[in-house]
Amino acid sequence: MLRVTSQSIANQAIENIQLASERLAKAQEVATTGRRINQISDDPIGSVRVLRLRGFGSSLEQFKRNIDHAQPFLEQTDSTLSNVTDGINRAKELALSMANDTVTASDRQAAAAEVHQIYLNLLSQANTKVENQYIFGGFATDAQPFAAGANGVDYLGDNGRISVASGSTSLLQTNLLGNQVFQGVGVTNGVGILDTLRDLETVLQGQAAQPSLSLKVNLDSGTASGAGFSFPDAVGTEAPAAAFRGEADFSADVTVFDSVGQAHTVTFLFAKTGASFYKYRVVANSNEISGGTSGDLYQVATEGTLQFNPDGSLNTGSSTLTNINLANLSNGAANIAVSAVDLSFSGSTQTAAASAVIASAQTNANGIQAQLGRLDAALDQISTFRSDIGARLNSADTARTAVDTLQTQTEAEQSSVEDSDILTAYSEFARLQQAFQAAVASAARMIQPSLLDFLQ
Amino acid sequence: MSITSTLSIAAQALKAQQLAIQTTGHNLANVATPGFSRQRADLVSAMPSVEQGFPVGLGVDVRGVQRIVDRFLESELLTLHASVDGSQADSDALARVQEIFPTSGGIDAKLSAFFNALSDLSNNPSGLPERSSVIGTANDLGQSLSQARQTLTSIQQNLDGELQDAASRVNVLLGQIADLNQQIAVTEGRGESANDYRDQRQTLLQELTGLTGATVREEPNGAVNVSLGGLLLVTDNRFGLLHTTSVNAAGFRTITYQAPSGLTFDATSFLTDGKIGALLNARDSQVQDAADRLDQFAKTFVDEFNLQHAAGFDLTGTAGGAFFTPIAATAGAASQVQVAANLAADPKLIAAAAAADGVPGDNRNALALSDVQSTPYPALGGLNLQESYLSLVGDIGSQSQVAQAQLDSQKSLLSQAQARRESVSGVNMDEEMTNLIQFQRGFESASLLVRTADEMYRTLLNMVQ
Repeated sequence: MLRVTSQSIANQAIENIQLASERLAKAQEVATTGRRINQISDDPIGSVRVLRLRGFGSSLEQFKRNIDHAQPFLEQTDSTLSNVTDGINRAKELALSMANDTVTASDRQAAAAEVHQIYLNLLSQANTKVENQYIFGGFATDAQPFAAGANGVDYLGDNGRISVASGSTSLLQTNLLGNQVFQGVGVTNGVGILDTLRDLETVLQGQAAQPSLSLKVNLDSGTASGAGFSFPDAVGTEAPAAAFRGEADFSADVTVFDSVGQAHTVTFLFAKTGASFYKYRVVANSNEISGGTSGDLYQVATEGTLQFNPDGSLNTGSSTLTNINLANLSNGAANIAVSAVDLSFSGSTQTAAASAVIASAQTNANGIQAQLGRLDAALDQISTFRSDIGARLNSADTARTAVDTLQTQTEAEQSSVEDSDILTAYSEFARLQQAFQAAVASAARMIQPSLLDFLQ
Repeated sequence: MSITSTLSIAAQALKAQQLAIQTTGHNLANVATPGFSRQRADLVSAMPSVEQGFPVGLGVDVRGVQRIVDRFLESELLTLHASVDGSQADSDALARVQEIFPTSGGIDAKLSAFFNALSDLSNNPSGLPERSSVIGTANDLGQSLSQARQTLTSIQQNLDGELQDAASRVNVLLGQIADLNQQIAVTEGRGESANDYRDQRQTLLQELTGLTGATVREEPNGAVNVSLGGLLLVTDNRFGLLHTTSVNAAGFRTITYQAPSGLTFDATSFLTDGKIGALLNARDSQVQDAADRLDQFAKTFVDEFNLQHAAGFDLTGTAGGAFFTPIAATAGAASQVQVAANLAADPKLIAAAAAADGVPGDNRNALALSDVQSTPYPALGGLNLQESYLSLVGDIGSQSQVAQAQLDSQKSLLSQAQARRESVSGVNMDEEMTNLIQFQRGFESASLLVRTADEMYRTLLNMVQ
């Protein structure tokens, strides 16, 4: 039989009351804070999960901010491109209505004035700002990316692609490069849109557009130097296309328009001969040549040499430039001189696009017609970029929705780990309160009775 | 057979009952005295004498006053005190450490805020408010880290202070135990019982084992030997002392043992149990480990962030310098996380760009800096910053939880053992009251016996007249 002593009763009573009040205090903390975990030792694994979820939730919030930040840039780009499309369409309408000989010179002057306005409008569209940042200048967001220069519109921005983090591993590019969108650099069959409008204006004003050839090509310094071309270079000489092209390090297809507005494709072939020395030839396909043998290339210009300055510009003094002899072409009417300003070397791709216009007569409807082809190409170019932006806006929306969903899930998960169920917490509290009262009441009753109470 | 012997039985009985009443009174008086063991007057019937061929009882004898204890239980209690006090100190220290790592608004939240500010900067790399916010959140993070690190140090200092208090208390106890050893040996050498001295010594021994986890062995003369590992703290009336005047390389106290002979040597490694053992372990292992890991976290963060920052270029196109003031040593790194002074003064120096063009829209290095958050680093055991911090938090939480659970179970073992001890040695008032009535009645009957014997004498004398 276990002896029960006064002290053991007292100790037991104290211990029970302490235990009950400790549990009650814990239940009260759970009920009032609404949290199951108030210290990490309450549930170490749960706490780490809560902290991890909270960190994840915080980065989700940031992704949302990032996407929300990107959205106006993408939307503005989209609406700018929509304006550009409208402008080109209007220019095209004007060109179409003016491209017949019944239109008077004053009508054309009026149209020229409108095309000028369109040109100015598109130039300002190309210099659009969002939140005080130019959106088409790459990383150079503080300087106007496009400015009218002596030989057409110059691009002053860089090739910086600006991205925001739209997820833990995904980036969303927020900008389009102005030289791609408006100048067609690096774009297959790319068109200089602003230059086209200026050419169209010139044609409408009845002044002959300067036969200008604008060729941009990146000549890669990494290419090993070779000897140049080995096939003879007499103009009109034919050579097998594959062999001829094989001699070149780079090539660029260029559309030139002759005096009657007929487009021709000629190819510039470049061969590297030294660190900053190149040779080039201009060739055309057999279908451009009267009586040409199918599959062969015909030279339409004598060989020229190019030398570059350390800054990448052409050293005119040491270069030999040459004429493209359009007389050799099937419909050719005049020669195009290749001049230093025709050739500029920039960009990051090895493809190049260029165009040249020759309009011999002021009111030549064919001269206007010639621009229509470029305007169509410009529309294609813009619509390609618009679908790119559309896809990005779409993916921004998708990412935003995904982040929202994740956030809801994360919060729910966090709450399920960390929060107490309020009903359980309250009923637990009530239960423990009863237990505490029972402990106190039973202690009071147990300590009281003693033999002393019964001895008189 | 004579009336005299009847009277002598009565006198002996009166003495015995009085002694029993006194013992009961002693028990009742100590009903609430901690460590008190109830005592019992050991009454035996006296050896009978042979009268007229029959053995006739000669009344009651008092053999002594016995202390009722269970020796096994007493030594079990000593061990339990050592583990409860150790667990208590351990769990207290960890409870303080875990407060540094709250479940919301802790270092992890500041880290998120800092990297979110960087993400904002990548959205608008030329924005001065964004740049200032990066500096502000970096300062905030640095302060949190430094506060946590300093709190860890101050916990260690508090533990160090407690250690000193505990050691001086041990010295007091050792002296008192040695004293009582002598009293007991002398008293029991005289053939008397040293019940109350033993109770007192047992109480002191409980406190001593609670502090040190020392082992106690009783010698034949009644004195106890108290030893710690191989160190004899008390033998008979001689005792050693613990000194806490020396400090180790980290600036914390070590424990030197001074033997009664005056020889001293480092006893820190002997003290592995009890409160002192737990204090030493918490100070030098658990808290130090948390501090080391926090330092490693801070050092890696500062190094890696600075490395990436130096790879970028600031708003003016100048190569980025150190974002945080570089930290040379890992020890104490967490309290040195500070934004470099030149950067704090001029937020334009934050290297958000990846090229030296000085173009405002270049956010590539800002994006790369954000990646520092999620990159796993070998210095952090192949974890990224957040996970490394969370593993520290998880470990502290588990340690604290385990310590708490251990304390609870040790406490309940102790309270069970104490209940068993109470059951053997405790005073039950009702029992004592019943005994009191019994002894009182015994006393009354003995008194009656005296009167009866007296009357018998008188009858005899009257017969003579």
